[in-house]
Amino acid sequence: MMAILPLFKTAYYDIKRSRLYQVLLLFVFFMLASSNVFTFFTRGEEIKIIKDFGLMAINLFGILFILFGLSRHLPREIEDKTIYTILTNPATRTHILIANLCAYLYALLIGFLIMTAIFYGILYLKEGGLDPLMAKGIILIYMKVLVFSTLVLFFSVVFSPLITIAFSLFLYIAGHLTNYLSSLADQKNFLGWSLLKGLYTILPNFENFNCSGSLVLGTDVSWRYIGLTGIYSFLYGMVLFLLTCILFKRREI
Amino acid sequence: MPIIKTENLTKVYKDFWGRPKTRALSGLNLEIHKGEIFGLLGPNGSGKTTALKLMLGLIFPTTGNVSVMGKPPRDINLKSKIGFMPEESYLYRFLNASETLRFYGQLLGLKGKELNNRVDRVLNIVGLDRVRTQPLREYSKGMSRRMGLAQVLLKEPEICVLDEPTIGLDPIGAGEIKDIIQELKNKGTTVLFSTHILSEAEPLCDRIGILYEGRLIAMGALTDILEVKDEVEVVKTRETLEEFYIRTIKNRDTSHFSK
Repeated sequence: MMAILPLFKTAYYDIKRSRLYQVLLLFVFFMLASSNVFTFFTRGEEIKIIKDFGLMAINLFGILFILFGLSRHLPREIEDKTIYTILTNPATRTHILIANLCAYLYALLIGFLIMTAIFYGILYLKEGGLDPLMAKGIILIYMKVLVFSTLVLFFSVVFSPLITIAFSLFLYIAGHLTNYLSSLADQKNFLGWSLLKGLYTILPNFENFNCSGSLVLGTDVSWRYIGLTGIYSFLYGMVLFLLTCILFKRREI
Repeated sequence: MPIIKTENLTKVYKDFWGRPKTRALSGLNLEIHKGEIFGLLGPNGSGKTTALKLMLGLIFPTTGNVSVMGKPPRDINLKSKIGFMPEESYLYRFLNASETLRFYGQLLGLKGKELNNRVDRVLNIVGLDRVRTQPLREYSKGMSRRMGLAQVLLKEPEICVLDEPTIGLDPIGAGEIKDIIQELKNKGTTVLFSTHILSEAEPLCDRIGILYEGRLIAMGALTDILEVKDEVEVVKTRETLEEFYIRTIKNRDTSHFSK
């Protein structure tokens, strides 16, 4: 287990200096800063637009960072063969996966904290106060990206970055439609019902985390709901991560 | 007891769908003893690197077994006792020499003064002390090879596995690496190295094995295999390793074509 910390530190150092991370942070910073511009189109709803835009920008940062960063991280280690030198030291493949995932989630957390500060700064200038509901929205987005990260990592141990990106993106969209799948299943015969219900059970339900719309409108989400969603994201992520470890242990590098 | 033992070791590389693609190694039986320098020789593509990777537990055998110090090669307790220098330096290019060695030292569980002392000492041995703050991406090939060796020496290993250790080095650099290998042997370290440069194997190795098309076609102590005997087993002359190597591979080729 002592190998995880140096692996984590090196992976985080690599992420921090990566162009993707820096460019995305900068991009979202400009998005947040320019959110004011869009309020011209909807007079009277400036605050709502800024909040909506802010949460969307943070979500976009998380998804793009994980999609284009994590999908390439492990394949690059395998392609550059740096993994050989690591594995001939007291480190296992599972250590590498844990360290990489934690490094990405940590970099994500730092990114989210920076963006939250900017977001609240803008809101404070506009509203003259700090809306606690936005923090709840950001926490839910972080949980969603956590599940998405384990999904991307899972594909990245088997497939090339391009296929990983395609599959992850497909499941990200499908994960937002799982409630639709469930209601569709009720209208089908047994075979169709089993297939759709099976998909509904297996696919991550990203709609659970999608409370931005109501939070922007001022409808509160209870801490109990956030806690339960947190447990869901942790358990889903954990199961997927364990599967990833099993797959990676057997993979030829 | 041999320190490394392979039994009927075979490796067939497969494609994504699990269909056999290349047979890299066939039925390798090898025993490497404690404290010796063993040279694994063979032309390019003969299976040397595959054999080393199997002995290090980096890839899985298709059939057969490997044991290192009586344990399977993937045993994590073994890892701090084996140093591996791959044929290219597979290190993080964004780190500098000092950071790289600190990283590998931390993987070994070293810290504080002990880690600092080892990093300083090893950088001195490989002659990279003056460029320790320069990122590895700015290193020449020779410097990168030295860095690969530094990562091995940092471990103070019981077994050193070196894949083509002098490839890409100038004669002075190659000579220095050979001196380090000899020094390791003097300290009692077992050294297994692969090469196709015979002139560097002959003065260093106690025993050699020749791989050709994935098969071990000759193995033994240099003193024994280089003796050319006549029909009544009286020693007549002594071949050079190069002569022996060419004769063995040519014989193999002839027998292969006559089938």
